[in-house]
Amino acid sequence: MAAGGESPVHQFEVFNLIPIKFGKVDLSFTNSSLWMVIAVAAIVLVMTLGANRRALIPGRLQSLGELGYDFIANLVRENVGSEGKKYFPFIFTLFIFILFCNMLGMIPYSFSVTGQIIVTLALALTVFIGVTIIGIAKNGIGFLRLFAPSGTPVFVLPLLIPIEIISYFVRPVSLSVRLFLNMMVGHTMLQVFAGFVILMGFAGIGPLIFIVVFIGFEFFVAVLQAYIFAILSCLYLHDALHPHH
Amino acid sequence: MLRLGLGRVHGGVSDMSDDKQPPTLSKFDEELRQARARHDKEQGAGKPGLAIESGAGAGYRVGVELFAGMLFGGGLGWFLDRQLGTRPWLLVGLFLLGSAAGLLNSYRAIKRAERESASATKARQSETGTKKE
Repeated sequence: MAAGGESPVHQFEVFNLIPIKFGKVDLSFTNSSLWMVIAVAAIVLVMTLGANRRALIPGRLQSLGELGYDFIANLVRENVGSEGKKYFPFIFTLFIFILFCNMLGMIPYSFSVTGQIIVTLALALTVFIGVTIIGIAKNGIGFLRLFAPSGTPVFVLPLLIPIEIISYFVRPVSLSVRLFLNMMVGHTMLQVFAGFVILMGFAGIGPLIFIVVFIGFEFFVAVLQAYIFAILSCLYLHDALHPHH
Repeated sequence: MLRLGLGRVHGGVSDMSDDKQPPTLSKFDEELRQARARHDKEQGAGKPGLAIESGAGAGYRVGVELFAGMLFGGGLGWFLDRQLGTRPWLLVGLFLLGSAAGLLNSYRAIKRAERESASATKARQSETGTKKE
């Protein structure tokens, strides 16, 4: 969140730090990449430092890691079933990465990676493509039953099947748009109201109080959105493993 | 669901410390497996649900579903129109189909939230029931 006087969306600007080009492909290391690397480094640091002592009674960092592990393990078990245990590492990685990106985005002057639609879309497409491949591998042609719910009258099928197919392909869109919108709108709101504080002089205390409350809410949203992304991935995985409605 | 999950963690920890003689690992593993199988059977083996998304959360989700359906249908139609030169027919058709798909998805989201809130209250009741034992 940059200082006032700039456009509220200035904070989402991506710029090159180290320009790298392979022919026509631009692979530059941007500020967005930098914050992703920071997020991954922070995750590795917290997890390894936490697990380092392997105490029976966990300390702060260790219980942080254990709570996260247990939380996602329960999530996967309850939403995918026992056969979902294989996919736990994937869901856990997704959750922790999004959580840390969201949380790092809350630091003033940092960059919110999940406020970029291309990043969230890439994450959602990874889930979508992976889940589709798993579904086809597990069920073969029976996976297509997902598009034709049993018990449907034959004469509605020509209309229903295209709708079902589109509703399947909408999944990555809604998954990515949800995360992106929540992060982008929250950060823009904060910046706009921060501008009000300066503009309104003494009366700026009103927006200031609002910001304090809203930042608390933003922390809640940061965790909630990571959770929603993880649980929706679980639901899609469940659909892929059991393609009968 | 968040609070439920954390509560379960604390419950597990206190159970362990209450146990006077720690069972052997293999025995514990066996019991855990049986308990999980029982739990799976009771819960209907991984029935999906979104507990936390009650109220405004579910409302947001429905809104995003609806919006994403239209966005996807309209976007795909616009793109295909531009590629195939069939403006504006695919845009119109796919926008309508996309909206229908968005409606379908939001309908499912509502159903899921409903089912989940029903089973959450049931779980809460049974949980307080087992605590009394």
